[in-house]
Amino acid sequence: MKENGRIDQKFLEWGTLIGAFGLIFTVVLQIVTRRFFTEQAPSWTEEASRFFFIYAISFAAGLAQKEDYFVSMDYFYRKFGHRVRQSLDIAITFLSLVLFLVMSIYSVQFILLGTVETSPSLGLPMSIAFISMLIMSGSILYYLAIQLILQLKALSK
Amino acid sequence: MILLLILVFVICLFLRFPIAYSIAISCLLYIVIKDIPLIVLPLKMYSGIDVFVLLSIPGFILAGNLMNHGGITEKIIDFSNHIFGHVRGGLSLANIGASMLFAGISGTAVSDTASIGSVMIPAMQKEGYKADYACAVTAASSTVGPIIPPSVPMIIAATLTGLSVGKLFLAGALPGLLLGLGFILVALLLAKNQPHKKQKRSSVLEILKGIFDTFWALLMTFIILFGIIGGYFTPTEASIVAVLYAAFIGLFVYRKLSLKALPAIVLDSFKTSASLMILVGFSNLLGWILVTERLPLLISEGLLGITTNKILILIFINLILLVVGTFMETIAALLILFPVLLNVAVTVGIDPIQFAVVAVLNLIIGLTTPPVGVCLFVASSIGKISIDQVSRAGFPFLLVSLFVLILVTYIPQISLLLPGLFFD
Repeated sequence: MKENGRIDQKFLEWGTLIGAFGLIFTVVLQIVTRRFFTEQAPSWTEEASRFFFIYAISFAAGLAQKEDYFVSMDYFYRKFGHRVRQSLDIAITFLSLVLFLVMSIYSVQFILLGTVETSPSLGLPMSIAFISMLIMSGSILYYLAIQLILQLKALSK
Repeated sequence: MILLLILVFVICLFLRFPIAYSIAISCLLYIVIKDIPLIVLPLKMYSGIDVFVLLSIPGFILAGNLMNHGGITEKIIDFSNHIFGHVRGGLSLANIGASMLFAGISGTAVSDTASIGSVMIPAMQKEGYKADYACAVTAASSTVGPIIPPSVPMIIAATLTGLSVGKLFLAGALPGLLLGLGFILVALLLAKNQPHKKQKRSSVLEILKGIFDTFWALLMTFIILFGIIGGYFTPTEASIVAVLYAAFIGLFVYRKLSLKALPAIVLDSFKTSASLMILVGFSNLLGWILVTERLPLLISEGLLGITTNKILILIFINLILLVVGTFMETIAALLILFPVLLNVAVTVGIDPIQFAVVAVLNLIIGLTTPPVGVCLFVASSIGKISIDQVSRAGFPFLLVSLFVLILVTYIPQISLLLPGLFFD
């Protein structure tokens, strides 16, 4: 699992970095072309930057789940005993897993919906952009599943 | 049906589900019961984050992180110490001053508490200040961050309503300064109860060096603000210019940043942004459900049915936002409540720009309001004392925040003066 952990993390990290630097590059291109070459920036730059942004966010989402970046309110949680907290953690992970399982399944349907649409400026099939939703939900689902296994193991100990 | 959705959401929230997932799980239940096609889940998530202005959020977060890693926090604190260190309560004033300067870089209160607090709280304790006071000053002053531009909550408010980001940034500047000045006054009054040592007066040369060191950080705020106001950049473009600027300053001027460290900083910024965007996406789904159920209209009619008096409506809205802000994360509360309450505010003749400032101010006050103010938690964990101690010591600062809130609520010019000067 450790080897897999490294590979999947690297995959998501590279995806995030490519998306992030793609976003920076296209926005800079937008500024430079508008200020120095044409009155209006090419319309495809805005669309491309949005695509890069959504992909960067989608790749980073799984990493955010893995490293617990999501904000929650733990005022009441802290008042519970250790055993209750442990059970609650499992319930939270399980229900979140169900949520992202549904989201992953329907993301596939969403991608198929995008095959008949093209983006206005780049002319790309929208399914390419919609794949980001599968990456987002799939990677969160993956880390939630690992988290659930670890929590169940800890409970059985 | 909508009551069930709200109930599930509140239960999930209190049981420590991440806020974004609490929203999504309650929405999922609603969608299943109402037999709505489940494809709406990825569809609303995608349409929620496919908004050009939102691209500026990772940009501003990344620029702030780059500046922070480039050593700007220490330089800002040093500069504030040179200016205030020799007066009574000098370090607490330096703490507030540093937060006001740092506000122009980070845009979020919690990161301000963590960055400034990790340096200032131990330093204040070392100089003899009580730990609870040091933590309280840090937590309170960091709330200036989301008001002074650039401000992540203001970008979210703009995205939700189509208001100009530039106008909202400017609208927050004066209230932010008022808040900072109010904190300075309280710190001066409380200083005589603190058994601290005064620092030696800095030389003119040290102050000049401090000005030079912090100049580059201040320049970033001006580039962002005047780039947007002057029509040179869109907010998204301004955020990317800020990223390039911060990287350049960190690499070649302060020389504390290395190329090797860049990927980790970018990754950290995008993980933070991803957690925010997922919240935005699921809130878009919730917003769609609420509109389908005509809830904004019902709330609007309900409130206006009680009174149409502008002052009473503002009191009522302030109370709702203050209570919600105490328990809920700023961005999440803004996403859920702002569009609904804006409708009411505009109906009774409140300017939407002023209302955005009032709403953000209310919600950030919640960050230092017991029992669950996030900034109180962060500060208390740095100072290694209980949150109750910080809350008690922070009470005078909380009163200042509420006083500024009253001023901003009932004197529209405080938030509308600058946007009026530069835009209209």
